[in-house]
Amino acid sequence: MNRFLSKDFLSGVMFIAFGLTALYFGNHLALGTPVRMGPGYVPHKLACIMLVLGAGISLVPLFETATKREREAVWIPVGVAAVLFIPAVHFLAPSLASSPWLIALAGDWFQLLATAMILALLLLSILAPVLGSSRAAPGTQVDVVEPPKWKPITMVTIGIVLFALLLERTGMFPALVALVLIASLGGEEFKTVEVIGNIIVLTILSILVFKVGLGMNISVIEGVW
Amino acid sequence: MDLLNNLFLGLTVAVSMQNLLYALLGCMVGTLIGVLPGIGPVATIAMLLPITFHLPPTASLIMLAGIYYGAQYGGSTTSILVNLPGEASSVVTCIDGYQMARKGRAGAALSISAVGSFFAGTVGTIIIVLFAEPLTRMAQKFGPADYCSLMALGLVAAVVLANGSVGKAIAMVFLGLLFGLVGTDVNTGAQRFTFDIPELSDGIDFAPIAMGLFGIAEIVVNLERRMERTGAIKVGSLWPTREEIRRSIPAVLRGTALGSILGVLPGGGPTLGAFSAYTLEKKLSKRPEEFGKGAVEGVAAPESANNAAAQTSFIPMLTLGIPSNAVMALMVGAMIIQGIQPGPEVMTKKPDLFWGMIVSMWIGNFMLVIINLPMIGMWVKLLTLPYRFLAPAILLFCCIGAYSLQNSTFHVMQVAMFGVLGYIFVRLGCEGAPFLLGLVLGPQMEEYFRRAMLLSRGDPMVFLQRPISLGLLITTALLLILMALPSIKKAREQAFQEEET
Repeated sequence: MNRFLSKDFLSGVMFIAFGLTALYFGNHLALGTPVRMGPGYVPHKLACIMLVLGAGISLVPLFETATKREREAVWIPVGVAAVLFIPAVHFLAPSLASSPWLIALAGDWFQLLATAMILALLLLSILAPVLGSSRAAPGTQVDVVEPPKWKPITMVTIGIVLFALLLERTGMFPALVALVLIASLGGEEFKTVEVIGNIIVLTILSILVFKVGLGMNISVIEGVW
Repeated sequence: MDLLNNLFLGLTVAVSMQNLLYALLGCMVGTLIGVLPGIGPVATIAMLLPITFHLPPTASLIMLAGIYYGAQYGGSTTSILVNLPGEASSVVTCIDGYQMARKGRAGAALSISAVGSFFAGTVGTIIIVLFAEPLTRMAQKFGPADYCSLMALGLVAAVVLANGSVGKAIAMVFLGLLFGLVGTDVNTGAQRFTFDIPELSDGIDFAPIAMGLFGIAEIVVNLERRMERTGAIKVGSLWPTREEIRRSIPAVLRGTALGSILGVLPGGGPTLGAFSAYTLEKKLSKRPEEFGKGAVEGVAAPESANNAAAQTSFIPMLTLGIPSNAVMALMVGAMIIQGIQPGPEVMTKKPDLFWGMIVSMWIGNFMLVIINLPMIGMWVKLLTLPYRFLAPAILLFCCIGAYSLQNSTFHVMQVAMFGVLGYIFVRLGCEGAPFLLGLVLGPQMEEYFRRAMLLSRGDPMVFLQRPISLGLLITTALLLILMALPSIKKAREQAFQEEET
């Protein structure tokens, strides 16, 4: 079983991705000081927390499924390097007069921790399959992510997007037909008669609930009713 | 006599024609979705959030509350009759309820669970009445730092009770907090993560997210696996025997007590209450071997517990503004949509809404017993409705509902986007509930945090110097440490495994 396809490892990667996205798009927001926080202060801290948590969540299952040999050959050196990285950058970066980006990083212990953990994770993900194995060590369990079935999620998403695109241009009825038709294609069984019946019932129901009942201002067929 | 006055005020609000009608509507819809497997109360309330926008605040909250406890009733019906829990909190009821049904005692099991639930609901409502005022008064003494710590406790407790990995649940809370930041920063007016989309400048809308994460993702997951149906069973006489009544009374009492306590805890709720009550009965029983083979206590206790917990879980939401589970998070969302800031001010500033809602809960519970016992046959017939009819209907309601929020198709697109995200969460085993709690509490928590730090001149020690805040943070830390202890970790994993089977 591939260790890199475990639910935990991939969730960690997802959290890191969200953290990096938040860091990138929140980059222009002023941080401010703890007393007078700028708009970027809390987002920046939260993004760093996401990175630390994400890296931690990914590292744990990787470590648990590593063989003893791999732990000695890869994990210990990478761990030591990651621990040393934080003070190294903190003290060296300002004195080397390097890029302002690095100096800003060096001033923030928390961001340094996040960076060190991400770098460690990257190194391990590259080194572990090379020096160890991408398969789980014997005797350990991997909760592998189930391969997704693409049909339902794709059909449902396309249905909703089409509904959104059609609703104001053509009115509720065509949008409804598109949504129900495409969503029904996502299921296991598709019987034309049933789907047509479903469309008729749902059209009547939504006209009654939304147009008559709640008095919403949407046209059933644009320009006609 | 304040209390009686308040209750009287509540009664006058609750028995108005309109509110009675919405309570009834809520109970019916709740029972319906409780009966139908594949759609839970969270998804339904998310779906109906936009509709409540068109109703007056009291009526909309009464209806949503009705859906919540109606779902507990409906869920138990299908658990007993066809061994299909329509709802997570009635999973344990399946064990003994279905066995009773196979012995021809389905009617008795149903009426015991209905009466037990009603009793528990009544007790739960009384507890809300008794505790609401003192708690509200306490909450009014809270400073910004205390509030921030209280929210931290609420979020951590929610994590502890989330299914699965604690680490992932904590990360989900933070992800929720991060999404909560989208929009205009209140203090500086800066645009945060809005990507120049005007619809996002007021903050990311709560309803489309909840619909996507819970409604759409649930539909997709259900479409992927074939929904199995078992033939309906004969209900039989609704009257329990004298022996069954004698055995279920203590079980109902214990279940109610346990459920009431567990419901108040942040992160608690009906599911936890039901599981604990079942375990407790099994331990206390003189005939533990009967459990799993149709013991009446195994129906009475969890059914009372889940209803009691459903009621008392309103307490932290109504008094402190802290939702204890995903449904309560949605209720907070509904209040915000209506322009009511949840918290201690609700009771003092809107006493009619507050007490009206509480009294209507009791009325709703009463309605459920009266309406549902005679209608069981109809609910069972509904079970035979195939999912391929249901799924497009739910989708359509989500889409039109999302559009109706602000007459913008952007919200419909958001539903699609968060549907995909929700599906990814499900596949990766990440719980949606902690995310939702973080999202709801995020903006307030940031506000309190910044205010507390401003008042203390940037000294984070303020969170440890105020006694209330310190106490709350110590409790939070204890909870986290407890989770890390190996023995508790193991017991927790076992409990969730039982839930899954």
